[in-house]
Amino acid sequence: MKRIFLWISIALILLWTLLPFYSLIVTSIAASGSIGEFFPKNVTFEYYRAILFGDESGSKSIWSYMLNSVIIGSISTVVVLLVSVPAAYGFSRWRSRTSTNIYLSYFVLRMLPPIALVVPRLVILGRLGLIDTFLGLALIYIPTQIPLGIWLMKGFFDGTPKELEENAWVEGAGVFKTFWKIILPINGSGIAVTAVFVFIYCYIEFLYASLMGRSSVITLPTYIAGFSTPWEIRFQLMLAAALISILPMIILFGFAQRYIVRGITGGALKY
Amino acid sequence: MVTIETLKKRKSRRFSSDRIKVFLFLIPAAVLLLVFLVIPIFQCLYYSLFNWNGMGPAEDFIGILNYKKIINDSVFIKAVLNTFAIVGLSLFVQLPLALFLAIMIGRGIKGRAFYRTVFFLPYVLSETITAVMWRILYNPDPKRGFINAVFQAFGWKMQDWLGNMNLVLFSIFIVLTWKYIGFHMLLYITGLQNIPRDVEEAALIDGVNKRQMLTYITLPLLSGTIRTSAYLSVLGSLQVYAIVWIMTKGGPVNASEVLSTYMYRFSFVRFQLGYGAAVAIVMLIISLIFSITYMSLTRRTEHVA
Repeated sequence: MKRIFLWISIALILLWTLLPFYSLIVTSIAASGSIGEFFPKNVTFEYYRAILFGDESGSKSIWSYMLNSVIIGSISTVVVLLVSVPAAYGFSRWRSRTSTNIYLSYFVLRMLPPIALVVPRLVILGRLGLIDTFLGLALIYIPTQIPLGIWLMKGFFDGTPKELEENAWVEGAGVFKTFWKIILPINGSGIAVTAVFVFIYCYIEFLYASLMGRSSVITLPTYIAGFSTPWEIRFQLMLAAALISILPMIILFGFAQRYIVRGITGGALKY
Repeated sequence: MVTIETLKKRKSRRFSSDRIKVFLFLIPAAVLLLVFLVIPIFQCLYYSLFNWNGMGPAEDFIGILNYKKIINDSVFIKAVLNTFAIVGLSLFVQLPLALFLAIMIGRGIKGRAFYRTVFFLPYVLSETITAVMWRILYNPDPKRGFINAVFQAFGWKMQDWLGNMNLVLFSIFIVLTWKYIGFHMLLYITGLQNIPRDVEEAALIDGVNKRQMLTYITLPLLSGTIRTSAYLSVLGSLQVYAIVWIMTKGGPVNASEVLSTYMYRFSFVRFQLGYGAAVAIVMLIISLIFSITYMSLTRRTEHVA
């Protein structure tokens, strides 16, 4: 009896999770009179055609925006890893009062809502002439994600036995060589997980993307939000674009799932 | 003769004497954070002392007048209370629900990967789309909105989910839970996988029942994960922006105003950037209080770093 009750609640939660996706799909194929109907009477795929190939009324196809999102995601992910992996290793292996304090201050910095720093950041980037550039957007995302990267990676390094590098040192390998040849390869899966989280964040970030992207660097969330104007919201185009835009993420998650499950286990939980 | 003792000494010297190398590892992170996090904070502090609309340099110095106005604005107080409500609901409703899901589908059940993927799916969806989609679902007209259609079918009283001042925050919270529950569930599932099987088997042999197992063994061993997810949950709740802005713009009549939308409105709709900067500083202070509370709570229970 109790089991049945539990399974019913799971089923309800499952329904609650999937219903919006069902709605997403049917709305994206509903002809203009049928938005919001549970079983749309008139179905059309013209919106998908418009998203995939562009249409006469001037809406552009999704691909260049997806490319922008992938580019900004890749740049940021690579830099975040380059910066936070060594830093996390430093925090994990050489503990002192100073390093603990620096580490904790990263947490405080991570707490700051990104929206709170919009104005000064835009002013700085404006002075540097970096508005509407990949570099400018990357310079926003990277510092936001570095604390997360350090946090996850430190967890992985904490879980790596110290004996490994102690042995290497006794045999005469230097600190950097040991880090490069022994520590990094062991933590490959951890690095993959961190990369996935950072990439997803950059891929779907809306606030800064919409403020920074004017004409040349427009990413997916801004492109999708662009179907909503003060005069009308073109739901079908918006949702069709949204569905297409999450496909790469689903594939990425599929590939990374085993890593993600392992990764969180080894990482974040230590703090 | 090289004894084990001297080797150990050499090793520990290695760990403690490489100060310079440690800082080499840390420098890149420090520089980036300084330029794009720390300096902006001070700049924000500077702007907050001016009456400034973003055009030209900030010249009209007004001291702490902006802060006085903030504290006296009832809409700001409303925004703070709403934000805290979301933090509280997330911690005490969303997380236990995620934990429940994790325990139910965490182990040894068929199709684990399926459940994991399904519940994680909303996390991958951008906030823009989440908000637009739920706006359609919440449409009060049962012909246009699924939820009221379901309510009508069951003969329940239909609601104006986003238009009712007493309901709107709750409606938004449902969306936030929908989007983030899978992420926390994934954290818990992996935390559960981390608990050594033999601990539980030993307890079973000692004759504990399922409830005792949960309260005395599983949950304590999971406390590290719970702390992590609580931290991330508070973090996310304080930063909620796009979902609220797109669904309600903080309305109706400020009923769903949160700190981020309040700040956004003044900075980018009304172009009172000095005032917006002051709001940002207040947000920073609130975040700081949360961070310090979190740290002192975790430091007491576990050795940090």
